[in-house]
Amino acid sequence: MIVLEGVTKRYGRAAALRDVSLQVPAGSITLLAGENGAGKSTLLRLASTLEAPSAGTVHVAGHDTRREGVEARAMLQYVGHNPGLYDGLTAEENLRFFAGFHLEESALREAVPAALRAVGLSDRADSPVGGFSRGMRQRLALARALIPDARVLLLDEPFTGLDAPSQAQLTGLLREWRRPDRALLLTTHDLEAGLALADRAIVLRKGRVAHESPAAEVTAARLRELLGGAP
Amino acid sequence: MTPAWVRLALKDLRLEWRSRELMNTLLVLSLALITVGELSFHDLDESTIVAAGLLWLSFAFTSSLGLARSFTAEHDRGTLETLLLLPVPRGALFFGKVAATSLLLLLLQAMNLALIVLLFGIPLSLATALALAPVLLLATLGVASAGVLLGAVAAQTKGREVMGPVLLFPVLLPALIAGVHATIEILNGAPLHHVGTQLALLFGYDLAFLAVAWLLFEYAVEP
Amino acid sequence: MSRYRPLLLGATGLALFVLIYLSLAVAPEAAFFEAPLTQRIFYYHVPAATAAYVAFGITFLGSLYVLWNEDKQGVEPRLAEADRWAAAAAEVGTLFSVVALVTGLLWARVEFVFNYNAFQDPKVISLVALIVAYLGYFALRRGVSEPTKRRRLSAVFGIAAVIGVPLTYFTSRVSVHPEFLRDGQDVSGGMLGIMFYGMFAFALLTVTLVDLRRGQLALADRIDALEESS
Repeated sequence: MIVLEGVTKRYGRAAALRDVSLQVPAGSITLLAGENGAGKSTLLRLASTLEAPSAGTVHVAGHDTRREGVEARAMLQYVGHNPGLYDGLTAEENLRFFAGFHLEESALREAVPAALRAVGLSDRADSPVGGFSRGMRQRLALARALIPDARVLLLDEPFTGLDAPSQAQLTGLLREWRRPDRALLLTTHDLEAGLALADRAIVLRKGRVAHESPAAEVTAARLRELLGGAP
Repeated sequence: MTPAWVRLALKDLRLEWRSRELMNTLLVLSLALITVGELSFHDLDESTIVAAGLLWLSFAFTSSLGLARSFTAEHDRGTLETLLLLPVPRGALFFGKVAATSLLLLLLQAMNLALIVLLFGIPLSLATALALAPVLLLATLGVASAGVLLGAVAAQTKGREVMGPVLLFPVLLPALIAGVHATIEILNGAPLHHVGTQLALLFGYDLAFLAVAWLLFEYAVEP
Repeated sequence: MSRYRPLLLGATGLALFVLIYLSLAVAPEAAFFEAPLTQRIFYYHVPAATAAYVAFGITFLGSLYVLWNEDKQGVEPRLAEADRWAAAAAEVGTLFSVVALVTGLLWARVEFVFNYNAFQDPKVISLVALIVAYLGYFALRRGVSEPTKRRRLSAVFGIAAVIGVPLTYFTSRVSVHPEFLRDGQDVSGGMLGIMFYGMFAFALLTVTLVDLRRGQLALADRIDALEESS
């Protein structure tokens, strides 16, 4: 569902990703691990069509992110560091606005309240997002991502800033989201939480793929070693 | 399903209606400009020239600032990225912004015109007002197109909002010049067909910039 | 380009020398002008304006090249080169625009004395627009540090500004009373000939200067690259 072939991404002279080739198959939940600056966020951004590779190709759900951006975006949802919500609109209005590009009005009537319920924000449906805490915004951003029938979900550090119960809730939500025709790619520093959820693990080091395996074959400790640098 | 650009424009309008932040700032700015202008040029005989000049001066400043602001706001909130993630072509984002900002700017021009007419005591018949409408409309549309493009460019620089007017000025000059001269003629009582050349030029300006800005927009807005 | 540089420099030097000679010694006396001697500034004023527009054209073409080829792969060095051409041309163009503006205003002041209102002259307005556009271009470049983004945004502005400046000329020409178009009207054949030659000489000068400046920018980029890799 996500295919990177020979992808290099440069910013000025620095290369954030070097000749990366990997696949995230449908039906899987893949953990992307790496130190800060290893290239995880960059990889997610390339997959989301927000950026284009300097070399190589990125395909999402069969669409080239560069040439078929609109089609690719119709199939994916990306939740990055910045929730990117409108402070001046209520939680419900935000969801209706964004999801309204994917679903018909009639479908939204049920889907929006359902999404709010799923992330526990039903009671704040009519409150302007301007008053929301960071955690609430993250939840709303996630709700927004879950409404359309996306085939690919890209989450950058979804567990950051969540307490244990919220983490468990999120893990549950994501497991529910999973289907044979969907793929989830997430990054997190919380390797334990990540491994509990994922069935595959990829490690990035200095912009290259350092390790790739089923999640069952590695431990968090082993992953940390791989991140660190010593081969 | 409502067209994407319409949904985008409505979103901008709704946000503005709720906060009125942009309109308030621009209104205060134009009021200041016009008042200072009135006080400075109080004694001049050619009130229509001064009036036209102030109207378009205010137009120049408010549109430059307004257009730049529109994008820096999106940029800061992080919503620019979420907009770029929508399954719509970049052109939809462009037209949505142009539509929303044009409407807001037109509203502003109408208020400015009313104020100027009051302050300068210029007789404004319905015919004159109707004649001014296409001039303002055409100028606003063209400036909005160029402004949305250059506002997007400016939002990515360190200078940000200040960069907007700098970039926009050479590009809105044609609209300004044609607009001022057409306005002077109309305020002096000329019928619309007297300013036909100005209108044609504004129309050409609009076509040129709508096309060019639309094509260049995706390059301006790429993160 | 660098291979031809000595040739280019030599040709430009010669062309300018010839222009100076022509304008001072050969050009017919402009008897019907108020200030015949000052009139000779005309042989530099029009060419300088032409040079400014030629430079602008180079910036435009460079910008087009950058955007057109941006999403192709493996063209990075060519994009950087096109960007340098655009930036160098903008600098040279600003120089010539200012020269054109100043020489034009000086001449008008002497010639027309009290009848001239610079702000009503469409050519003055469009030259001012051009200068402001260039200044905006530089401000923009200074405001973006990442080279790929700087290149792309400059290219966008370069193209937008190019549309704006001729439109400014046409709008002001129509709206303003064109009394100041004497340049082409009262001149004799010989003068026109020298003027055209002047345009050619200055065009050559423009290309030489842009090339020189572009070369400097390329060297600066190479130094940066070496510094970063060490």
